[in-house]
Amino acid sequence: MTNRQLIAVLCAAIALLVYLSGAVAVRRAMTAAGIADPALLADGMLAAGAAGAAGGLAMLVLFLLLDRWLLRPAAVLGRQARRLAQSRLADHAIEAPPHHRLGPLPDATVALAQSLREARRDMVRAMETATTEVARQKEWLEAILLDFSDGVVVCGPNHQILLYNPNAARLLQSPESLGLGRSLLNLLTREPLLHALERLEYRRAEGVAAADLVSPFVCATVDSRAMLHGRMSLILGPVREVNGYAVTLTDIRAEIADLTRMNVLRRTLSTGLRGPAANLRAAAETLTGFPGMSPEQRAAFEQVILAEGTEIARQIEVLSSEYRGHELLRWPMGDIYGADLVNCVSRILREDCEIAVIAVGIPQWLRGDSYSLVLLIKEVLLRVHRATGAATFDAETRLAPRQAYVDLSWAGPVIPVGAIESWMEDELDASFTHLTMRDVLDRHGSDLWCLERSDGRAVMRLPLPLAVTSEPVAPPAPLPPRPEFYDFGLTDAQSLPASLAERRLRDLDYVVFDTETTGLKPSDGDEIISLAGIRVVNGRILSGERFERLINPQRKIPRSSIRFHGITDDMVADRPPIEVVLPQFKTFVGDAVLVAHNAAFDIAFLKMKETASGVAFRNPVIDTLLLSVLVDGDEAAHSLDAVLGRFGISVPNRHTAIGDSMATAELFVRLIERLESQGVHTLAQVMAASNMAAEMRHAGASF
Amino acid sequence: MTRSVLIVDDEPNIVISLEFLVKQAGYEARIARDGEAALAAVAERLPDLILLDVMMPKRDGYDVCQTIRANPDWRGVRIVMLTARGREIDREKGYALGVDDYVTKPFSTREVAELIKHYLEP
Repeated sequence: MTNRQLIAVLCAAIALLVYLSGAVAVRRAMTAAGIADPALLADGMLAAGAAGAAGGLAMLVLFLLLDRWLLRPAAVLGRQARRLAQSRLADHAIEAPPHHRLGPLPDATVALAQSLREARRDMVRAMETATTEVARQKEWLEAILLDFSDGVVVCGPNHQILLYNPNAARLLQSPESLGLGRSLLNLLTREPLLHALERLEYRRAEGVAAADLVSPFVCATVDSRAMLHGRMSLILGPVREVNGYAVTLTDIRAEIADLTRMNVLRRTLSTGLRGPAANLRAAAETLTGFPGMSPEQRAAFEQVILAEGTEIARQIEVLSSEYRGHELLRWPMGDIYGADLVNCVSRILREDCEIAVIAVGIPQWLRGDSYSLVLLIKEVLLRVHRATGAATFDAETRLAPRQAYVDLSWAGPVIPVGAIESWMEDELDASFTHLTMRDVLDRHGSDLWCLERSDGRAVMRLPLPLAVTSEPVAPPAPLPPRPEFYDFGLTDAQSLPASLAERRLRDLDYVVFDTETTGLKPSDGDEIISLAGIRVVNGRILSGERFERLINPQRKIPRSSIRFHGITDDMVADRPPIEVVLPQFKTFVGDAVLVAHNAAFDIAFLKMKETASGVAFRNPVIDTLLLSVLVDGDEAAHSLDAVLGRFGISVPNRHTAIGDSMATAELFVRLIERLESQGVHTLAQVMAASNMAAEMRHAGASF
Repeated sequence: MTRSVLIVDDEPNIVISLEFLVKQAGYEARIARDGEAALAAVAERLPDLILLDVMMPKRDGYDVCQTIRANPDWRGVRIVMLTARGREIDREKGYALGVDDYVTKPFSTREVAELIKHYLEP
């Protein structure tokens, strides 16, 4: 019911009500006046009726006036306004009704509508401009990508394809499913792709620079028609969030065809060897079969044997030198950080099989195909688990002279060569190629064997090629070492808790740590800007258990100090202050013994912040500088660089807090071995000896 | 007592030369044609030196070597691996599993003769 109808009914109802109440009032008044004559009564009622009719007429006129001046104009305005509101693209004027008594409302509505129309026109214009701009940028990108000989596909966070070039369409050979918005996972084998993405996300979380977030991988199209070498890079947003990724793809069918040709070559050559071998054999057999032949004949046969023997040897040399260069060309490989490899295997095995893999030692850079190596290592550990029941493994990547090792160790029996040999032809995860363990090993020019280590643990060794580009080739110019600091309170054996004093060094838990600071004087306002630590348990460096923080010093970092640590104001701008970080570090350290090189220096900085952060470190402290003095005598140099050089320890990322912590941890483990051979076994002994060394050195320095 | 050399190889054509070399040098030559036969021969009577091929039927040379090295009673025996596997990694594996020397085929007979002498003459 509209307002107009409501008001019309209301007017009629009021007219009826006025008439009825008038009639009732007349009747009552007449009765009260004692008028009982029916004729008079009827007259009265008639008069009342006439009055009622007049009232009704008045109400009708009132309604018509209301309708003309208010209700009708309001309805007209309302209808137009609603039409404008209901469609976002509507663009028409509102006309004010010609007759109305609505005051300024119609004019205001007309003005409002006009503004709305203008705003809408602006919006449409802006949208058109933006669309044109986006289209133009896309055209540029497509033009650039068109020139790429590689296929390029850009994907959003859920693998949906946002952009691709014609070469990608050609490589993927699937125009019907290579639509924008479709998932790349429907086109390529998903496992290698997801593995590459996972590695990159892990490295992003580790704080690796965006430009270095590139991961190579090998995959196939889902229909197995093409084998592709991919390189994935992450696309990061303003706060390093992952907005998607770009993948470049190269067809490696040609390389694989080369490989097949190589195999044919090898076969031909080795078959070719059979000719000279047959001559050789025939000559030799004739020679032995007819001992009575003449000296001339005999010399001829001998000549044949000599010539063929030399020829075979020569061919083998040619063959093997040809072949050597191709070993690593066989499969596209990338540099892999040992920690990534171990973490990946560790996560898979923890989730799938409840096998624990602990990363130990200092991770090294290797070269290989990450995905197939993960499959291989996972399979090896599973099989060792089945064979020996071992459920906890240490995994370490180590440097050897011309290669790197992945060492997997466990407490239990060694796996014999024959058993390992029997695993070789079984298929690993048959996701896109029917890879066997042998395939992966051959691909890396490697093999696998198991030994008993000197500490009684069994270790499976997997040698791998060294990384090509992991570390800068030229070592940076050596930096002057920090001056030595002494704090005799630290090495006071008397203050050791009895529960620790007599424990064997090897059995204690340690956190080896390092700080980077704005300068050398904590009491003059120098501050910690980086703090890192790594846990050492039972003589093993647990590289997975580490603490690493950049800290906002709430002051400017002196330019002169940047060459020591490489940390700039920008890098710490959004990092927490020391008051936040120290309690976290305290939790990480727990009851462990603290270890640092030139420990008094780092401890002095921690002590300065005791009040501000509300945490105090009362843990025993061991200084590797003093241990080095104990082991190598006072005359040798004992700066961290010098000692690491003497022990032949080389660690990535030196002169960062985490790099130096790792280096010191490695040094510490080696120092424990040396100390034990000198008869120093307990923490109390180490503290007493360190104290002596500190006093001696301090006294020496003051002369 | 004559010192003894165990020649382990499945190729008679190389065994014949090796046997000749060993005997020529004045040592006893025993022959095994595969890995299992080699271990049986070692168990029967411990040789002073083993000339060991890698690629053989039944148990391969690495396997034989590791098995011998795992037995403390057989500690004194010297093992020289003679093999067609020439990769650096194969050599490293050989040394890791306990060979005393690793010689890649085709070797010169003089080199092998000298090695035999080196290991058997104090």
